Amino acid sequence: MSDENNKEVKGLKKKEKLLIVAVIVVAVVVMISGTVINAFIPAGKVIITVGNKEYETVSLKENKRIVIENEYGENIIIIKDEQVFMERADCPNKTCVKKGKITKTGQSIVCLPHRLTVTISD
Amino acid sequence: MGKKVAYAGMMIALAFVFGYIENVAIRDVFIPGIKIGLANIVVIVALWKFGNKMAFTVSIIRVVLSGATYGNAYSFVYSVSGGMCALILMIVLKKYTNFSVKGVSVAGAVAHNVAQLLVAVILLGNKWLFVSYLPLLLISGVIMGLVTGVIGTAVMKRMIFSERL
Repeated sequence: MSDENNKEVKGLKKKEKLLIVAVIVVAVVVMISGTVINAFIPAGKVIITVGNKEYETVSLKENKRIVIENEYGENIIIIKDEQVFMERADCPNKTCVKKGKITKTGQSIVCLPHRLTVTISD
Repeated sequence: MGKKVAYAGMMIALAFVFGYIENVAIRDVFIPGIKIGLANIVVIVALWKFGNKMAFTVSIIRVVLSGATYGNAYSFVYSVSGGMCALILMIVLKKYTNFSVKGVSVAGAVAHNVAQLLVAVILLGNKWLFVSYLPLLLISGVIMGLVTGVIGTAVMKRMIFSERL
């Protein structure tokens, strides 16, 4: 009993540590595989989805300003010099704008309130 | 009974205020979109001190209130799925393992994040999201779960609850 208590004072139990390690291992494995995807599959196009439907697909090589206005709100997506970013959004949290520029295959910008995703694909 | 209702009201109010603080005051302090999950401290205390029913009540009412205040129908779907998955896992772990408050809190936070990501992948129809967001959400779940677990443990050590409910 006292042994058990001592362990708790020190920190986490063995199984709890195991859970944390397992979660971190999964995270690292997914991160590495994501990086491998980024490195080996060249980025080619930008897929924009609204709702769960494809809205528009644009080549990453193009320079384009895409304005999306719908019942959810307004988003302005910029594709320039093979970089993609959200210039403006009238959503409440602006997480998509703060995400900044994306350049690699598999990366995406999400605007949850407007049900919008911008993903770089091969 | 009356006392229990009073405690429930108090905890729902506190969880709601924590939700407000996170949504308005300290939004995006760390990484855009990543939250600490302060309201989960209240749910953990409710789960440990009052049991499953109380934790469920506090969690679901808080989600409905926050959804009505800050969110829309879609953000509500994310909140409900995240909150309920976290709660169910926390109840199961508390009942069937010897996990401490911290361990249960970490598992709950990770479950919350994974559930929300799954809902996002389904609702947005973009499977790339899984690979690009899972690592960040898993690791932030572990860290934020530890933070809320440590705070929850400290709160329960210091709080005096009336024994007869």
